[in-house]
Amino acid sequence: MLELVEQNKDTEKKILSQLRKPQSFEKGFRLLVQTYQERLYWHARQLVNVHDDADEVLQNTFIKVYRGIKNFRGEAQLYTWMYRITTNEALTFLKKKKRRATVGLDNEKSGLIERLEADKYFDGDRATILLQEALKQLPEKQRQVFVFRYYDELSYNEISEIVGTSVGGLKASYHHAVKKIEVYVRANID
Amino acid sequence: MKKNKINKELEELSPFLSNLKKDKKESFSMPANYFDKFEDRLMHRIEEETALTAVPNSENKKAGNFLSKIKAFFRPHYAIGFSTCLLLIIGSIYVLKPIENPTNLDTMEGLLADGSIDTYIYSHIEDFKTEDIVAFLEVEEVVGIQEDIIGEKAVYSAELKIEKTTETVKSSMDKALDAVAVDDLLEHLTEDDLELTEDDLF
Repeated sequence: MLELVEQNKDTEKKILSQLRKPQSFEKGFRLLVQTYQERLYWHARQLVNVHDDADEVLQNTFIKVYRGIKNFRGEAQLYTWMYRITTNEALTFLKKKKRRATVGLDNEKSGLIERLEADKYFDGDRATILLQEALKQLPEKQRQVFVFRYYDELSYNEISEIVGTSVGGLKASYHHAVKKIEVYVRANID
Repeated sequence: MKKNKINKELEELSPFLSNLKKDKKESFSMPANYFDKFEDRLMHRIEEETALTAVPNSENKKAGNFLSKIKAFFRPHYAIGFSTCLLLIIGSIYVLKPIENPTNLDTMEGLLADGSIDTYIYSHIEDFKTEDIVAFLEVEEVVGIQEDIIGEKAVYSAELKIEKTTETVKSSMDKALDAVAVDDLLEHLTEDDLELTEDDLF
C-alpha cells in the first residue's frame, strides 16, 4: 500500500515537472490525463449518473486543469485539486441541466429514473436507481462525502483535503448519509 | 488495506448498502475503448477552443443598448434562422480570405459540424458591426427590437418618476420629523415600544 502511495507521488512529481517546462507541457498534460482520467470519470459518473454527462464533465475538468495548471501552487496534492474541480464541474453541470430541463421540480425523481433507464450505459437494478435517487435528496456536502467514501473509497484525510471539513465532521456526515440512504432505499424498494 | 477498512466500516454501518455496493460497477458501463480515445478527443477540443480565442477582433464597439438587444436576440431558440445566414457569410469570408493559420479553417469546419456557431456568436457579439447584423435581419425583426428598446425606455422613465416622487415624499417626511423635538418623541414612547422581541434581532 505504501508502495502505491509512493508511486502516486512519483508520478505526480514527474507530471508537474514536465508541465512546468513549455517544451514538455503537452507531454506532461497527456500523462496527467492518462493517469487520472479513469478515477475522475467514475467520480463524475457517480454524481451525474449518465455516461454522456460524465464525459462532458470530465472534458470540462481537464480543460480547466489545462488552463489553470500554471496557477497550481502545490499546496494540496494535484489529485485532490483535480477532484475538487471535477466535483464543482459536476455540480455546475447538474444545476445548469436542472434550469434547462422541461421536467418540473416535482418530477425531478422520475426525471432521474428516466435518464438512467434511457442511458444505454446504465444497467442497474431498482435498488441502484433508488440509491441514486436517495443521493439526490441529501444535502450537497453529505452527498459529496458519501460519494467520496462509498464509491471513490477515499480516506477521511483525503476527503478532508478536498472539501476542507474536519475528519470528525466527515465521519459524522458519512454515517448520517449511510443511514438516510438505507432508510430511503428500503422504504421504496417494494 | 485502506479498502478493507472502508468496506468493514460500511458493513458495520449498513450491511444492506454493503451488499449493494458489491454490484455497483456492473450497473454503470461505457463505450468500448472509451478511455483509449478520450485523450485525443480532449486534445482536439482544446486545440479548437484555443484557435477560437485566437480569432482577431474586427473593429466594432456598438451602442450598448442596441447591442444588448441583439445579444438577447441570440438566444438559441431565436438564433437558428439568423445564425444560419451569418454562418454562410462568415464561412465564405474565411474561405475567400488568405488563410494564415490553417487551424482557423479547421475550427470553422468544427463549428459548422457541431453547431456551436450560435454559442460563438453569442459570446463574441461585440466582434460584429451593428450594421452587418442589421443587414442580415428581416425588417420586422429590426422594428421589433427597436420597439422593445422604446418600450424599455418608457418603463425606465416611469420608474425614474416613481423614484423621484418617493424621494419627494421621503423628503417631506424627513422634514416633518426634523420639526419635532426628540424629547417630544420620547415622551410618547411606552415600555412596550422599547422592548426588543426576537423578531427585532437578526
